Amino acid sequence: MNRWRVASYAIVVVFLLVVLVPIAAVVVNSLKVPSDIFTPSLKLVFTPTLDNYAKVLGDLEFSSFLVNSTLVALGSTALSLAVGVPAAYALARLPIRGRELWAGGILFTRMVPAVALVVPMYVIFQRASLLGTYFALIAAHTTFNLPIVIWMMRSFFEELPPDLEEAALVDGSGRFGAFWRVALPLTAPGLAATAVLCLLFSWNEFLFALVLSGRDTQTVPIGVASFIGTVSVDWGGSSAAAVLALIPVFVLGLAAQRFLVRGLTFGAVKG
Amino acid sequence: MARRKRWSGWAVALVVTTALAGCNSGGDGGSGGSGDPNAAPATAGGPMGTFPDAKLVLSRWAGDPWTSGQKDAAAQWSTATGGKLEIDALPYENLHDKQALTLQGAGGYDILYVHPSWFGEFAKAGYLAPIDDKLADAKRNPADFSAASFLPNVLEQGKYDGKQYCLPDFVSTIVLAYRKDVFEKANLKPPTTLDEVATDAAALNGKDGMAGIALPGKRGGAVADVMGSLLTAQGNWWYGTDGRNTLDKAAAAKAVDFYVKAAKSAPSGVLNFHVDEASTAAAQGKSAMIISTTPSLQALEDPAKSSTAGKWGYVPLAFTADKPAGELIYWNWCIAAKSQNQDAAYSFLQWYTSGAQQAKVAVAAATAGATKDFYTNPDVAAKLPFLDAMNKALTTSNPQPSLASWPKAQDQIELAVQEAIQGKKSPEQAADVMYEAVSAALGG
Repeated sequence: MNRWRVASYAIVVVFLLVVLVPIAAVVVNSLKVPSDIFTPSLKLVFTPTLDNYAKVLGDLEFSSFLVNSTLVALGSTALSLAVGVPAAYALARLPIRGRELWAGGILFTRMVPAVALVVPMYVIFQRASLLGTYFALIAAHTTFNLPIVIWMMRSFFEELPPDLEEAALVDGSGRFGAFWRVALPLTAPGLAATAVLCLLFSWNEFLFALVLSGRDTQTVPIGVASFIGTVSVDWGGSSAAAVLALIPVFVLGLAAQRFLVRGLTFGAVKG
Repeated sequence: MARRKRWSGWAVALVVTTALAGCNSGGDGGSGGSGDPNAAPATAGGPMGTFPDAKLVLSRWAGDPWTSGQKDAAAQWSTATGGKLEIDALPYENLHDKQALTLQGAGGYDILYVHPSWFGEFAKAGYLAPIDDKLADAKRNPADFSAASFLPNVLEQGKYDGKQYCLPDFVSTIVLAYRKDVFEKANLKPPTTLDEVATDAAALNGKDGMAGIALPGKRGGAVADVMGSLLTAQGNWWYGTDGRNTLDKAAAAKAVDFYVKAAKSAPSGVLNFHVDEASTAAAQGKSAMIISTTPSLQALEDPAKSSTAGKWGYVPLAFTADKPAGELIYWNWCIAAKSQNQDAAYSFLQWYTSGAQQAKVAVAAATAGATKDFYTNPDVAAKLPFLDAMNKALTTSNPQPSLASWPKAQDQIELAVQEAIQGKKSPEQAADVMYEAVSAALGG
């Protein structure tokens, strides 16, 4: 093993430690009673308890935050894909005047800071009597998911050889048929990767959720932040909530790992 | 044809929007409905009135045991009055912005937990409903409840332009806690002045692996609260009742000097300590003394969190012995001006801020009520070992500033203290910065 390989392993190990130690600390703290968390030195031997989970899921009804986040993330992802994938295909294949300008404009919307959008959105949803609804959150999250979908899927469509769709057109298919039956199935890994990213961005979003949600539509990030009080932080409760928030994302990441790798490297080795 | 298609597209969007809006959680606000605000309580000590159709939303910060206790109280109120009261609990750091956004819009909140630093802003903007008439109306209050039931100087803080808007609770202040066993072992007497505190902290610092004193050093309000107490202990305050800057730079420099000396005997990382980090350090035996807010000191006596429970003594802050003082810390319960349920909202405010209810809050959460009968309740005295020190401190107190412009000044004051602790500024330079910050907050 040469020294470059050793160095690369060392970098990976350090990176994993940096990433995994905080997660491990959260998991461990979620299983501790307060007296085991607040110790002068790190306490690794302790009697694990599920009290924090019982409190979070019982008294504090954290499951409602999980349900809300699931609905909003799925809704926003579905809406973003439904609108964004055809738009991406159009930008990749159709002779649209000023195509790059349109694409650049769409990307620009992703660059606008969320804090600049949140107040206008609040006013719009308030006047539409939609504040506190799932729709408000889904629509708000779609504003930052849609550009991602369009840009990612556009690059995937552009990597496909146009001959396949042209053959479909020659065989009598319309443009939509070529998109639906030929192009879309071939970009399925990219579609899956894009969907996973949309779900993750929506799942973790805080600002829009804080301002636009109602007491019955608050999402997981609001629920986790609520453990920080004026006087103290409920470390056990917040750790249990963080673990509960982590599980769906972790499972999703594992399930979609194959698609993620394929999708994110799709077309990267085109000759 | 194209136009019809476009319109049909809009129609589909409208249908989708309406359908998704059906996913609404029920929206905000609620109907006023029928009810009788003068109805006697169903049980002794229960809330006044019946409000069978009322649906109220209460906005407050999240965090236990307060939120859970609030939910229990809301359920009891609902059972007794027939109304429905829901809690919208948000992270403290985001509470002001969410309340302000909601209140300047169509509303949606009926009852608001308002911090002094933004009470003035909300009252001035017309977001809050005056309650003078309700508080003075004998029919809608229990026989033993009126404005006279409250500590006058605390109730006064809920007034703006001569009108009473809010009822207070969460009364607390800054006191010193010291380890009785450690002081005894070191042959030290409990400190009676802040100079003694600094000297004792230096003497005890590093002994048995413990720091001399823990105190908040992180910007976020607590540093300014301690500074306010240190100024009050010198008979000084940020500004006068006429709205003019009254800060004595020499007094401010003396307060900062104490802070710097204390910080030198504090656990490492004190600049990142909020009240809970300070109390956690003290509870785990890492510090011989602590200066902090009274609710945070509950952690010292909680065996589940503290390895030093039962070992603490409490004294008020004083630069001159027998002249204790402190900053009056409190929160306001207010009614939104746009609420359609103001009678029901008042019913909850009256009941929740009463001495009997606040005693229940105190037992669970170590915060104090603002009514006189709270302080004669033996259960409360047993639960709050710092109550005596707190009462002594509050005999000479100044309330937390409630200027709309105060949050910025507060941040500058806390930054000046931090820079003095870091040695970037002398206490005199920090005092100059504070004077300018207060002047700016006062509009000149």
